[in-house]
Parts: sequence; structure tokens; C-alpha cells
Amino acid sequence: MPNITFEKVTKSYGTTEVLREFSVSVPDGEFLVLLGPSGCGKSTLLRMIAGLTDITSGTISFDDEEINRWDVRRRNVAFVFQSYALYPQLTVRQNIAFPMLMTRLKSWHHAPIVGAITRRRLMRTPEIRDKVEAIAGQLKLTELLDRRPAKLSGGQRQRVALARSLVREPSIYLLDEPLSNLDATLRTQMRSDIITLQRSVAKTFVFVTHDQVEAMTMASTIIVMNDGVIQQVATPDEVYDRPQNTFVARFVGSPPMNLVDGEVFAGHHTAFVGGEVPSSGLSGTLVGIRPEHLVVADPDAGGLPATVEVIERTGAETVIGCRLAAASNTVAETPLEFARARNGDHPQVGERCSLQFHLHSLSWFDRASGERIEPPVPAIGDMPDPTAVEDTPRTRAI
Amino acid sequence: MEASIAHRRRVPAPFGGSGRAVPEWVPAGLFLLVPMGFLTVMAFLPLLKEVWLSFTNARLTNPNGGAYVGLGNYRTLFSSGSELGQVLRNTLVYTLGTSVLSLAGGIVSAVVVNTKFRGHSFVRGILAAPWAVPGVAAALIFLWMFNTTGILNRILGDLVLGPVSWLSSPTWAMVSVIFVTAWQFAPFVMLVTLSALQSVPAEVAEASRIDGASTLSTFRFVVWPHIFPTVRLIALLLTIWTLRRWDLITVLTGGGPVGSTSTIVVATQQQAFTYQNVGQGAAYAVIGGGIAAVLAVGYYLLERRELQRAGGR
Amino acid sequence: MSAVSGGRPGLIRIRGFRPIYLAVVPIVVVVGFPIYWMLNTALTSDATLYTKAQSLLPSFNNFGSLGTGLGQIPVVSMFANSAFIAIGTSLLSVFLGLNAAYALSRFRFRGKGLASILLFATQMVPEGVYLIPIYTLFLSVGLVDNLWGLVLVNVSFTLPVSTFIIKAGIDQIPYEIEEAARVDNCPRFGILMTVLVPLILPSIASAAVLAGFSAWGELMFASTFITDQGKWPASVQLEQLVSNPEANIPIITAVSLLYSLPAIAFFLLVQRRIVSGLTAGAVKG
Repeated sequence: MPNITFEKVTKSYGTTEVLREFSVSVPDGEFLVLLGPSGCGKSTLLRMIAGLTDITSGTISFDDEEINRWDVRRRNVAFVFQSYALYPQLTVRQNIAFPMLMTRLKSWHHAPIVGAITRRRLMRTPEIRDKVEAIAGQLKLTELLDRRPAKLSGGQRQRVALARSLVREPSIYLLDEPLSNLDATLRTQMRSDIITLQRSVAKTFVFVTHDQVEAMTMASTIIVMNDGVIQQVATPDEVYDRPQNTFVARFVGSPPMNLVDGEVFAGHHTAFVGGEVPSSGLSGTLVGIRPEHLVVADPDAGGLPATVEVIERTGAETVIGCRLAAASNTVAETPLEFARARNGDHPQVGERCSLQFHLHSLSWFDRASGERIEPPVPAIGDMPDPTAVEDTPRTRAI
Repeated sequence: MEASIAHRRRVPAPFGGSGRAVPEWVPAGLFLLVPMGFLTVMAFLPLLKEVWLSFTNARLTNPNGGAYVGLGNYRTLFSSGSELGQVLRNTLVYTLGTSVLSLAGGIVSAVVVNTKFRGHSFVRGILAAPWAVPGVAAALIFLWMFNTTGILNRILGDLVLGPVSWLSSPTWAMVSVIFVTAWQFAPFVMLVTLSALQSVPAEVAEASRIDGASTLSTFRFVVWPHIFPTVRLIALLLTIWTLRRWDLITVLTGGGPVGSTSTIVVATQQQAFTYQNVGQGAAYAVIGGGIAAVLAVGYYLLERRELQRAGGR
Repeated sequence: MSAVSGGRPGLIRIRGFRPIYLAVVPIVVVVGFPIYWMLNTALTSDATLYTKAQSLLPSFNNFGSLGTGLGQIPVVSMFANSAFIAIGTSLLSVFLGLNAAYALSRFRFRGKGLASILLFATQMVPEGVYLIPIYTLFLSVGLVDNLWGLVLVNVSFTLPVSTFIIKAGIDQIPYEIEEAARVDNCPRFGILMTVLVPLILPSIASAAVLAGFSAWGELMFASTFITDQGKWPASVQLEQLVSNPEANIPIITAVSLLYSLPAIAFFLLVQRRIVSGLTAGAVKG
């Protein structure tokens, strides 16, 4: 039942640093998701847990026992590859049984003919045969047991890969983007299957993905990564509500969190848009507002003036993309600010509006470093500028 | 404590042992151990021994018992009366002649076979077959054909060109031997060139023909540059393979007449096993090996220079 | 797609005839004639050869003497010996090559480049150069005049090529399957034998055929080392038969033909793969 502890772990290939030094502790039984864009190092980290890639410096421990020099086989982990890596010449039954066969074969058993005979004999023993069938039943693979991987669909191969990992009863399950190659409906189905699986075996799952929806729905803890650097280690709620930096803020959540230039004024915080920032000599901040916290109101209702540019109807709701009035005067292209609204209840494209939001639903970030900062909540009535934040949002009359 | 041990699994020895991960070179070394060991005994060490033997005056009856004579064998070889000059000349003529003939024949065959015509796979099979014929069998049939009363002379006689002593005249013997060797090697050239030809992008060739280039020009400016690297590689292989060829010459002419077809490998074997002069034979072998090594290194350097030039462009 | 083709508009066309045939026919005749002649000679009786001149078509009158003629040649033993050497070389060359190829393909280690170069350096030097020292080596261990000795010699010549072919095969297999096997507690040797070998059987077969093929035709070492006539492989036996003044040409040619047939057959089977393997590195584009 190992806790996984990373202490000052780094990974470099020659002089290229792939993973910046980090230290994280993962208690047993977690569903840990490593989330990040391609090339951020999440798969490398996963492989380091498995022992498929070595560690450049630092230590990884299972339950306080350092495993850096442990061979792959000793670590008792299961690894599900993105491409499933099933043995093409073996049937599903043999694929699933493979790990069990390996524990029972002596080294010399691997000679060509001897190996085939010994394996066949072992496959017939009740212990192995029954276990394979039990697990196949659990993953609904029973009818496919005598097929070869080439004749299976993507989802079926996925389940065989899972079955193969289950059979070994490992103490840690490592999954490298297992759902990436599946189509959308299958992916949703497999997501819940994997969650259920984790609950039933009650072991640590480490799951790598670039899909933030998967991370948010499945994880008990998320490690967000970018460019080899760990951005945040937190629960999904925390990552969503209190992102550690602008990267996490924009990466998690769809549409992404809106980031608007802000400014500190004598202990208070007000929001402006780039270009109109008064030169007060104080450091810049970015204000983060989630689309669901942004309200599109009448142009004269107070709040930030903006023009509607894009309307996306997603069926359940409408996403409105607006460009702040101040932003259209700047040279650089600023991204649109997105707000969620109820269907039918909003201005049309091209119309002017004003954007309103709650003070306490904001996240504040330092503009230079991107890191989260904690602003003091300003006293009501201390607001120096009417274009700044509103205390309570006013909704449009229906 | 009990719970933490549960996550560890016993790994079967000897490949598991303490379960420590071993650096890459350990299993790699183990896998290479027997093959490399084998080659050391059968190839590397013998090469060293060859050099040593060439400095002795060993005889076949007691090969390991020769006395050290320094450069004595080499002095004999390089002295004016020795046959080394003729052997080297023969080797050069044989190697060049065979390579050129094989290349020419093979490339032409490839170009011909590359065209689609009825029965072209059958033709391709026939043209490929000589490579598969074992050397002895090829030599035997050509012996019969080159016989003074053989079919070749009969045809020549019908054409009133007179019989030729293909194998017993010093000049013709070399020609015959070159021809037979090229007959065996050309199919290889053909097959590899064919594969290279088929990788020529068809659109470029068609475009050039649409632009009005004749077939010959298309070949010269489109096809040839594309297959040239392959041809160069084959040329090197041919040179090395020809240098080695022993069976054809031995069965056809035995190295004669009067040593006119005696190449360096033929001379090596003869010196050591017919004249029983192991030390001298070893000296021949060292010279032959040296030539081969120079060729290989030369090609390697040429390749590298080509790569660098291509990279710098 | 052919880049070069014969036939241009404007030439007189006879139906079914293309100028390319003008080039094809002489080439085929020149190249194919000797093989045909083998057939012809084998099927023409001894007597015919000496009394009349051998005609372009076989006289097919040899069948009677074929029976008795063959009886005087130790056909069974010579082919058995050749087969022994060929099969032995094939198996050992492939086994060693498999190990070497796996090491070179899947592991990163210092000296890998050196190992590759060494492997191929031996191929550069003519076999004749090894003749003397291996003779002295075998002399001291009693392997001269021994078919096993010939197997060892042939393996040392075919090992680099076998390694090369098998390595190309291994390179094609996705590495993840081996990683999965390691996670599944499979030892390295097991990965090679149980996981890889079934997946690279075509490469192994090609390497085996090529090695066997090379050993089947080998003459130099066989004739120099083997003195016991009962141990002569076909290559040596044929060479000896010719120097015999009483040689029965058609019979010998018939045996020679028999000797060539397996080689030609196997060659046609694998030639496509060998050539593609060789050109993989050489052909650009």
C-alpha cells in the first residue's frame, strides 16, 4: 500500500532539463492525474515511477523506501500504454495471463520450444485459467478471449490492457493517456469504468492526460505541469477555483478563465484594461474571472464596457465572447472575455454591453510572474472609480 | 511495516537477484558476449596470428613451430624475381574488370527489366538466377563451355572466327575468369539497382519527358543522380567481394596458366597449402588484407565527406 | 512505375513487338545460356558428347547411364555433408545473430558503435586471409577434417550479415511491447525469445536462408580442411570429379545441377527481402 514520495527529483537528457526539481507526496489510494500539454514531461514522470526511465537526481520512495535503483520488475506496478502494447501474436487470454506466466517461468524456460510447451501447460492450470476468466468477465471480455489483438477494436484493446494490469494485482496502476486514442463516446464510458475500477481495487492510480475534462472528472488530486515544471498540486476544486498561476488558470476550464489587466490602488484593487493603466509605479496585476462568474449586462448598467463579438450556443447554455472597449484601442490583440449565460437571455453580436462580476469570485495574479497573489478585500464604499468592480452583480431584467 | 513489504514482489533469480536495476551495458554485454567471443576466436585473433605468422618461416607440417625471421618473407615477396608483381597486377585487373563488367551488365539489365513487358517477371527470374548458382557448379559448366571443343568454340568456328583457348592462353584465361565472375555478380547489381530505379519518383521522370527530354537525357539527368549513391555502394561491395573470390578461379584455371590468373587469395592458398610455405602465404594474406582494409577505409572516408558536404549545403 | 521505357511514337510497330525485346533477348540468352547448357549436358549421353558434337537441344538419351553413373558418385554422402554444414551454419549463425542484433538494437551503451564496426570489419577482409590462422587453430584442437569445424568457419563469415538482417527486423517492432513485458515481470532473455522472436520470424528466416545458402556453396575451406573423402561436401566432391580424367561429363553436370537447384529455389524465395534490406540504407529519397 505504498505512498509515493518524490524528493527533489529532476530529469535531464544530457544538458537538456526535462523535469525541473520537485518534491511531492502522494498518499496511498489516490487517483492522481498528471495534467499538462504535450511535451510537458508528464509521461516522463510516469515512466520514472515505473522504472522505465531513470531518475537524474533526487529520490522516489514507496513508503519511505527508496526505489531509485529498483528494477522495473521489483516495483510491482502496472503500466497501461497509450498504444496499449498488447502482444500481437498472443490471444486475449494469453495476453491477460502473460504476467502470471512470467512469475512462474524460470529463466531457462524461455528457450524457443520449451517456452511454448511450458506456457501452454501453465495456461491450463485452474489457478491461472480461472483468474483470467474472472477478470475477463469483470471487463466484459469473455467473448473475445480467443481473439488476437489485431481483430479487436480500440476500446476492446484498451480493456485487454487494463485486464492485463489487473491480473498482477499491483500496488500502483500507471496509465499513460489510455483514453487518447478512443472516440468521444467511448472515452466517456471508459472514464467512468476506470473510476469504478479504481474504487474497487482501492489502490493508487496515476493517470496521465492532456485533457483537462478527464482530469477534473476523475482525479482526487491533480498535478498540473507545463514545460517540465510542476504548476500546482491540488484537488480538482482547488485547481479550478484557486489556480496557482495564470497557466493553470487558462489551462483548466473551458472556456478558459478570463484574465484582465488590473491595478493596485492604495490597498484596493481595481480592474482596467491594458493601455488605460494609470502610471502609478505600482506592480501590475491580472484579474482572473471564470466565465460563469461574468455577467453580461446592459451597457449602462455599470461594469466594464464591451462589445459582443461571438455567440456560441452549446445547447445547455450560451457562451458569449466580448471584447472590452478599452482593448480595441490597443495595438496588440487581446483575447476575448467569455461569459456563460442562460439561453435566450443576452445581447446580439455587435451590440454594446457591460461586464459585471463579484469581487470574491476573482483570482488575482502578478502580471510579471503569473503567480497567484492574495489581495485584501476592499471595504465597501472605498471604491475610487466607478468603472471598477461592482459589489453585487446586477442581472438584466427578464 | 507488514503493509509496506506487500508492495514488493519477489523477482525470480538470476535475472532479478536483489531487484536492483542494472546499467544498460550489463545485459547488452551479456547478449553480445557469445557472438563477440566467437568472432574474437574465429576472426580477430586469427588476424593477429596471421601477422605473426608472416614474420616466421613456418611450414605446413608444423605451422606453429616456425622461427622468427622478421621481414624475411616480405623481402622475398618484394624482391625483383618474385611473383608478387604479377599477383598484384592480376588482382587489380580481375577486380576492376569484374566490377566494371558486373556493374555495366547489372545496370543495363535493371533498366531493361524495369520496363513492363510481357514475361518480364520471368526474365527477371532468369537474370537473377546466376547469383544463386553455387560457385563450383558455375565453374564446372563454364569449364565445359570454354573447352577447346566446347560449345563456345564451336559457335566461333561456325562464324569462322577460329577457336580460342579460353582457359589455357594467359590473356584469355583472365578474360574468361572475369566473365564468369561477372556472370555471378551481375544479378546482385541488377536486383539492387532495380529496387533503386523503382524508387525514382515517377512524376519527376514524367515531367522531364513532357518537357521534351529524350529517354537518354531523362536517364542521365533524372534517374542516374538518384541511383548513383546505390551504385557507389554496390561498387564498393563488388570490389570487396571480387577480391575474395577464390572458388571460380581455382576450379577454372587453378591460378594459371603460368600464374596469369593468380590473384592474391589464390596465391595465399597456394603458398601455404600447395608449396607448404606457411610464412610466405601469411605474408601474401597480410598484403591482401591490407588492400581490403585500405579500400574499406577509403570508402568510409568518402561517404563521410559526402555526408558532410550534403549537410553543409 | 518505370522511369525508362522503350517504344516511341513514330517507330514502325509490328503488333506485339516492342523494341525493348531487341535488348532483352540477347541479354537473356547470354545470361541464361549456361544454366540451360547445364540441363542440356546432363541430358545428353556421354557417348554423344564424344562422338558427335553436342547439339543445341538435349538428346535426352542419357537416362540409362544416369542410373549407373550416379551410382559411382557418392551422391548421398556429399549432399548429406553439404546439408549438415548448411543447416548447422544456418542455425548457429541465426542464434548468435539474434543475440547480437538484440543487444545492438535495444540497448544504449558506450562502445555500441565500436561493436558494430568490429562486427563488420571482419567482413571487409577476404576469407582467404583467415585460411592459414584458422587452420593452425583447428590443428591444435583437432577440428581440421571435421564438419563441425566448417560450420564454425561458415558461421564466422555469415554472422555479421545475419546480425544486420535480424537487427533491421527488431528495429521495426515498437519498443513499448518490450516495456510492457518488462513491467509484466518478463526477464530480458525471455523478452527476446518469447516476445520478439515470434514477431520477427520473417527476418530470422531470411537470415537463416542466406547463411545456409552461403555455407552450401563454400569451397575454399572445405577443400583445404577436409581430407577424408567420406566427409567431402558436394562442393569439394564436384571439384574433385572434374580433375578425374575418366570424368563422365553428363553425370557430373547432372549432379552439379542437382547441387544448384536448392540454392536457386531458396534464393528466389528470399531475394526480395534481402535486397530491400540492403537498399534500405543505400537508397535515398
